[in-house]
Amino acid sequence: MLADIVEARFQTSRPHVFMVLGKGGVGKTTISILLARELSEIGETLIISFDQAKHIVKYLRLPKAMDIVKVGENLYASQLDVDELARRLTAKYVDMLRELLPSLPVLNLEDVVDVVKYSPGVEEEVFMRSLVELYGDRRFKYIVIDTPPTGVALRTLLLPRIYNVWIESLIELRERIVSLRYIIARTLGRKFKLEDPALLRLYELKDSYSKLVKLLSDPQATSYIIVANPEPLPMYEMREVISTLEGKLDVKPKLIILNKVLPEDIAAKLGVLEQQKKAIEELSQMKYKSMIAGFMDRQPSSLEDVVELRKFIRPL
Amino acid sequence: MLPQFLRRILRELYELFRGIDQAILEESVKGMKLEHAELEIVFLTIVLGPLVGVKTVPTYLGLELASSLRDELRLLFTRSARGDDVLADLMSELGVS
Repeated sequence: MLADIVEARFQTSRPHVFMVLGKGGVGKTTISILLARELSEIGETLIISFDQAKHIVKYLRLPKAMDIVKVGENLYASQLDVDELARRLTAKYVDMLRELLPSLPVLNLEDVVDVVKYSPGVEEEVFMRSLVELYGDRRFKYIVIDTPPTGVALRTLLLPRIYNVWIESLIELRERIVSLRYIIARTLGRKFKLEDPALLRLYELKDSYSKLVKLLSDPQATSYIIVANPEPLPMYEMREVISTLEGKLDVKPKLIILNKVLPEDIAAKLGVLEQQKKAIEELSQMKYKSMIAGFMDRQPSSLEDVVELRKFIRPL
Repeated sequence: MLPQFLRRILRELYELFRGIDQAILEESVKGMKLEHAELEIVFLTIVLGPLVGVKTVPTYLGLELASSLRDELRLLFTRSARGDDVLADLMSELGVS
């Protein structure tokens, strides 16, 4: 039913990516697994968790992070290990810096190595690079991404645009440098090599990030699913996510799911009935497709439990 | 056929004018050379600044570009290792005594 709601029949050669967003603890992993399970009935599907809470490892009994494991018919799963990827990324740059700057230890610039390792933004960098790889992975028809908490997820989605702003300024500066070199060389009758490695690299980076920006904004390539609970903070974050998607990425959410909705008698006993009704009312006023997922009588902790959740979901 | 002393004079005059011509060319590109040197230092500062606490571009963007700046980095660090006073060189070029 979820797969029908998101109209998951795309005619593209690359995988369609579903990003499941929302505040931590709202049930993103559960909904991601359910969506992936339904999509696997249509075609080869990968569910991959970027969330470092690693619930998916427990749910799907994955032996270890980073491996892609078959967990059902046409269904594969993986958990990204941010620490390991960050370690590999920084190791690559540290090795490069040591080669470029051999006097690094002598000049007491070992602190530079720490800056690379512990720099803010390393998580977002790792996620963005993983996204680029996933969009190119033609083994799968669908890829469902259980995203990290909202702040990191949104920064990751905006990162390629921010990089392109920097890159355009750097290109302008580098083109001026190369032109000056050319004019000076020509004037003095000297030989000049027009190729500038830094400028070529800037053009490559700009092309790569522009492609990613396009994919993130293309409804044929990416769908955004937002999960919230009928509580103030998750609803607030849901609004923030919608605002960022529409304002900065120029996309609309494909589906909003209000998860862990209690039966009215229980909600009343707990004193949250009004809050819950208000959340449902707010969602029904929005112009997006939405669904309600009722509260299961137990916390789902396996693929079988998640599949049972199907009985508790209905369109709003 | 010109006498030898006249040929020598003409050759000397030719070398003189070639020297003047070269000096004029060098003078004409002096400003551009200075701008070029400044812009290269600015570019390196922007790219590598985040590694030494000068917050410019995102760190990982700078690292992506660092490997394509080998020659410039080598020159910069050779000069600093030799003890060249880079600032004095720059001031000298600008005519500041």
